[in-house]
Amino acid sequence: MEPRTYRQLLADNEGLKAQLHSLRERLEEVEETVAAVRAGQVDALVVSAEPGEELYVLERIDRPYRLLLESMAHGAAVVDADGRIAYCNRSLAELFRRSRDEVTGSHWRDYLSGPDALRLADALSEVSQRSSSRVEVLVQRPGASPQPIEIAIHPSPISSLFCFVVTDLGPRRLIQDLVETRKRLSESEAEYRRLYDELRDEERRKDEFLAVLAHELRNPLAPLRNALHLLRSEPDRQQAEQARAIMERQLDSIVRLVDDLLDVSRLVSEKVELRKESIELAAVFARAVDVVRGQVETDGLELIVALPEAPIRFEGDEVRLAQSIGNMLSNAVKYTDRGGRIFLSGERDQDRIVIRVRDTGIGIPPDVLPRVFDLFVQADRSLTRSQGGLGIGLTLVKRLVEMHGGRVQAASDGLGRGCEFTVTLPLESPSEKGVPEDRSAKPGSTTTRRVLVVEDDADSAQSLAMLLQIWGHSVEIASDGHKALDAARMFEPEIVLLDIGIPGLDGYEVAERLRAEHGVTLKVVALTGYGREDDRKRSREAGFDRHLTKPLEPARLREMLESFEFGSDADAERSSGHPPAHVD
Amino acid sequence: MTPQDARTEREPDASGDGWILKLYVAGQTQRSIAALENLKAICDGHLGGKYKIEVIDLAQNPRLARTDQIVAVPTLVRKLPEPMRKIIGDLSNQERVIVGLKLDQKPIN
Repeated sequence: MEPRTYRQLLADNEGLKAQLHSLRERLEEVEETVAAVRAGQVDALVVSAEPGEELYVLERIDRPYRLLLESMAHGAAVVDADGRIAYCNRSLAELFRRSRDEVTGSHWRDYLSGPDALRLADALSEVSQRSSSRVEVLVQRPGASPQPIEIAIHPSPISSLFCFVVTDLGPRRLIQDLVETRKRLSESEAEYRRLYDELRDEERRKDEFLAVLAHELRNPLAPLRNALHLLRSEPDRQQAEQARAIMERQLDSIVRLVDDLLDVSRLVSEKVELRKESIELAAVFARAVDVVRGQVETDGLELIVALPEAPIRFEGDEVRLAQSIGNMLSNAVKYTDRGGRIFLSGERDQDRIVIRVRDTGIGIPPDVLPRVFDLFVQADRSLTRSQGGLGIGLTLVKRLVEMHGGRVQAASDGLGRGCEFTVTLPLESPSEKGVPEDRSAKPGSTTTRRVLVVEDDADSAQSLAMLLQIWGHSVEIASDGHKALDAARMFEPEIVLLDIGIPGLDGYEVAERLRAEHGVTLKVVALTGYGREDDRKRSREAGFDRHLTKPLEPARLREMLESFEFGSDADAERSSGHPPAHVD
Repeated sequence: MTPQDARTEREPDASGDGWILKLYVAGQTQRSIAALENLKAICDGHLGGKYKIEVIDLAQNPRLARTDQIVAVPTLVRKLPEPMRKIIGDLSNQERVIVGLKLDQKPIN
């Protein structure tokens, strides 16, 4: 062997030794690695893969993350591209109301309706390696209602798998509902508060109204008492006449007050019916002016009435319209000082009638103007005391005008500048009802009638009987129903004035029996303290010929008595077609 | 010079007696924390201040495993002095670490 070869061999041997050493070391390293892995001393393994190394974590390192996943309230799942669930956390299984074993390996579409499953598949297909996707679906659950959920789909590091984070929208919806409900509650609370304030305001106005009412009712009593006293102490003729005038005026004012009150209550409860017929504006004005004529003179005012020459004829309730205009005039009188002027005008404006009541009085402050037609509202209570009035007149005007299909407006340039009320009525052409009877017809010659007064209040009965006797009638009084029937047989009256509210048999029953015993020629007139519409209806049904509301106004009563027709009478030619429905 | 100073401030020189050790871990696991503590205790006992430990977290960047061809964590790598040596596991067996790193040949002086 050549030395060089020997050296080479030696070198080779050294090289081999080194290789062997290196191999041994690498083997050792591998063995050590395997031993360490086997001994459970390793957290993770590093795997080379494209595009780079990945860490494959052995069991324990992911324990905190797993714990986190298991304890979180959101549902979580690892899902393959087909929608099969490879892993789910506890919350998701609970949300599905199934065991984890059931859910693991199952398919998402098992828990969704057809359309929802399609939407989820769409959302899955939209997820790319970089972007997430969201979808809201209803999850179907055994033994529970479907629950709205939101699924956030994220790409995972492994391309064929997706991470689902599932939010139960139930609580969110619940909170939304709560927020909504709370909002609505606070809204209705504000509404209640507003209503409460309104009610309190109304209550306050009512209290004030009652105070004024008491005052107004008491006012006429002192002059009445004084006048009575005067009559008792043998006055001379002129003094007696003055006392009588005072009593008449004060009584009228009480009656008007009570009438207004009744009207308001009837209007508020919508029990007023209009009796529409063909009427003439001039007649309405005349009736309205009658109401205030006396007061205008007493207060030293000037009332100027303007009407076009051509008559304005239309459909309406003359009494109610006259009452409305009368109220506006009364209002004007009340708030206009001595020497002031009041204008009443009516005109035709195409298919409307425009009625104006203007005065030069104290006017209406701007803040009161919008409320002037409200019940119990008056410009100034302290002022009102001196002017009188209840604050209901204009409310009546508004309701009555509106019932006629019209409107009423108030305008004023402010305090001290007067005010103007404008009523606009639709001009309805008169229907074919024929010409109304003339209510103000002159009474014919007085005929003596036999009149039976049935009334349990002795004073009322006696004063009524005296009045009738003064008018030349022959009168008897019965104080209850049975006595009335007896008296009717003995006295054979032609007319019975029958109070409805009498003891024993009530008025309706007495009327029926009278009608049965004496036939249709007997005139039976109902007297009631209530002018309510259903009373009238009932009295008609019970067979009454007329219905009068107490307190009776003597002039009306007289007019009514004279309007009665008796078949045997010679003066029966006053045929008015049909009798007025009611007189009151 | 205290050992602490040496560990934190002094650049170990590659040719001299400075040691450079790299500890590969994956996250802050109980095992990786134990491995680091065990290593410090051993080094303090045997190397005084002449060493530096670099901790590399593969959970943050798995690619760093390529440098030293790491296949499992924790793994301790002796970069210097050469030749490179590796010890896998939590380094709880002190004897094995001392033998593996050949620390017994270079006791404290």
